[in-house]
Amino acid sequence: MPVDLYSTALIAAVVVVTGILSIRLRISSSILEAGAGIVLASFLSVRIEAWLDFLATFGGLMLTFLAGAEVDLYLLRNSAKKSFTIGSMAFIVPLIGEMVFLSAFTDWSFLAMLAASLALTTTSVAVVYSVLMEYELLDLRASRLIIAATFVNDILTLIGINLISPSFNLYTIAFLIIIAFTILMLPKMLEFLVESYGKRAVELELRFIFASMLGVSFIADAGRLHAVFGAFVLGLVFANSIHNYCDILSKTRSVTFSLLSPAFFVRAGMLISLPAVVQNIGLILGLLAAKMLSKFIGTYYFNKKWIPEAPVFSTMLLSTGLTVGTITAALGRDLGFLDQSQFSIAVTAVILSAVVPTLIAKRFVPIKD
Amino acid sequence: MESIEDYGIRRIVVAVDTSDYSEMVMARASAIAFASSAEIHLISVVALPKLIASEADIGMQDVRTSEKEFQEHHKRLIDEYLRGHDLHIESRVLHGDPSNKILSYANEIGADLIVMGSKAYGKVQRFLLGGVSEDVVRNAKCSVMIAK
Repeated sequence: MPVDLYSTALIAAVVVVTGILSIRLRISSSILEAGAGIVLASFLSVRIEAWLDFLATFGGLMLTFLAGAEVDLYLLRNSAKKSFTIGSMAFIVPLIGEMVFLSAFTDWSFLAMLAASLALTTTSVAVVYSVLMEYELLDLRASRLIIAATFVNDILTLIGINLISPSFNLYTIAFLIIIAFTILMLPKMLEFLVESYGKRAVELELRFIFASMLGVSFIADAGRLHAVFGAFVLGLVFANSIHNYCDILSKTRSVTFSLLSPAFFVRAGMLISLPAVVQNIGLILGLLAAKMLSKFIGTYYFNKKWIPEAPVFSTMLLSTGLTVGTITAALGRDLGFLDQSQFSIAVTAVILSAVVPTLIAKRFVPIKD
Repeated sequence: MESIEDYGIRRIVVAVDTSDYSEMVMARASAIAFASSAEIHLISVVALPKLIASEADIGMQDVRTSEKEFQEHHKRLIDEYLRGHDLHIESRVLHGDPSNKILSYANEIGADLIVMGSKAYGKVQRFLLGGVSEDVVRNAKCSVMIAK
């Protein structure tokens, strides 16, 4: 089927414009891209073509890979008990809270509720980092603990994604062993490739990372685990190897954020049904409130105990969510557990959770000594 | 006729990026600082979204790279323009919305003067890229010098 160049050019132009607007208005480019997707589908009748589907799927995997690569294992080890406790509570309580809320107020299927709830358990690493940096708090002990808890929260969500359609069997175990072996070998192979063939115009390092990521995602998928789980674990393992080669990570980010991530968010926006959002605005706000309330119930006690200088600030930051939440909701839709209306509701609540808790957190910024 | 010493300038905030303009900004600011024995606060801002950031807007590796570039640039500017002079010098790399950060830092230290550069943008470019210097001139509580 020939590519529709009209919609291709239109989407490409929209991606440029949203990039400019994000710099000009200083609002997240991803949120603007999702907004642009809504406009393209709802008002300009642009359809999702096969190429956009592919780029968006690739984008979702690369975003998950980079989320894994961003995890600072040293930081996690240094505050293992506290970060694991806060991060686990920031995952489990909202998962239960959202399930209870959806059971009470909707007639969604169990899997639809589970997929939407998982999407709303996440904490946005990017939002947490940016707020901490904006207030020059990144070097505080408390900040390091918040970031480590955020990592734990994300890891649990990515593991939790496998709960959506659990079908583990002996093959899964075999695949897990293969994945573990492959993943352990890959950093060494990357090192060998960089030393032997690196820094050339063919960008072999990038090709290798893309191939590894797609290969591990395929193996994970075949083993009845989800592809995004494989991508996340690979990113996690690659993190230290890639950090030794800053330029590779920088190039990986360039490809992801110039092409793949916009495709992912534009497509996510195009899948949002505007009428469904308008008709269910109460439910969306309810989901947001349930997320914030359950994050508060789950983490405030521990934040007060271990981060006494900023318990509300920490709790609000742990209530934020965006990229991993959107990826989870998109996965729920792609697997057929969320219909378009349910997906629209879940993603809008996720996007709102990037905005509302952040604004509240900024009112409780701790004073730096 | 009044000279620079008569203005009682005690603290100067010098806001630079890594462009060639920063040389001109530093040259102007250092001349004023020498004449008035003022403190120099050399600052740069790693730009972050005002409201919400996603992974596309903020990569820790890129932020660290920017911080390092700014720190090295500051060191070079200080060596080139201020070495051998007995002035109080502070060098800071901040994060956030550039104009907000420059303004809040100037307020925080009680600056008497902000010196910064301004790229000669046309109307369209200014709309697209935003005008940090315009924001600072409009909202600063102290004098602002734009080096061109």
